[in-house]
Amino acid sequence: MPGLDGVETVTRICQLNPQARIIMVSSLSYQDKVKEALKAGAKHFIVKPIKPEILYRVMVDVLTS
Amino acid sequence: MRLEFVKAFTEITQSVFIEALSDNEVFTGQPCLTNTPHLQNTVVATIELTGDLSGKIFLQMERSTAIAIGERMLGSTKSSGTLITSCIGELTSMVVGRTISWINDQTYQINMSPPVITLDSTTLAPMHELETLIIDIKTPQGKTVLNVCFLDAGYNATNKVTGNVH
Repeated sequence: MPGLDGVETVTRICQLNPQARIIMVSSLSYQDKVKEALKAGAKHFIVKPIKPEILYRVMVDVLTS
Repeated sequence: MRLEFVKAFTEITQSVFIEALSDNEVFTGQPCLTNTPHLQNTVVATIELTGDLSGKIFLQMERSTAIAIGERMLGSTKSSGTLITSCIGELTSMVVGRTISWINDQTYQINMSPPVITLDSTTLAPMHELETLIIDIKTPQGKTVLNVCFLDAGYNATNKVTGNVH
């Protein structure tokens, strides 16, 4: 993403809409990055490559929680 | 290059290819250390590393292999060149991202750039001599080669090894 990384994007979306439910999908999955994303407001973190069944389960979890 | 990095790149690359291609018939060859990257194929995806490790990682393959891998990832045989290019970038990003994540969890701090795809390796700027790990990846779609070349500032230069890794 030119000029903006994923965590900054999450922060800005949450500023615009605090009710947003964000699932972050990334190739980078080290502990600090995951913590940073969740702290910024992401509800869940999925590591690529995505399996459709996992994405579906996470979406259901996030939407029903 | 630290042996644990060689092991991480080899094992994680194979694992990501298996997941991304949904195919267990992916095999990595004997990893090899050389003094410069060997870029011979037409399609090359490049990711730059900065931080505790600085250098570049290249995933290269023939154009026909790139198309076959892209179509496999997309699940379609009628994909545009842009989508195929995007898939190769994504695959490279997943391989490097997951490996860098593993390394970062061992107290390193490394950042990676987004992938850049080149369709003709002869247009790439020549690299200075830099220890390079080369891993062949054999897939049902064709052969790809990972070139991992970086400077590990914290690694004692006397540990430098050139040749096959056993």
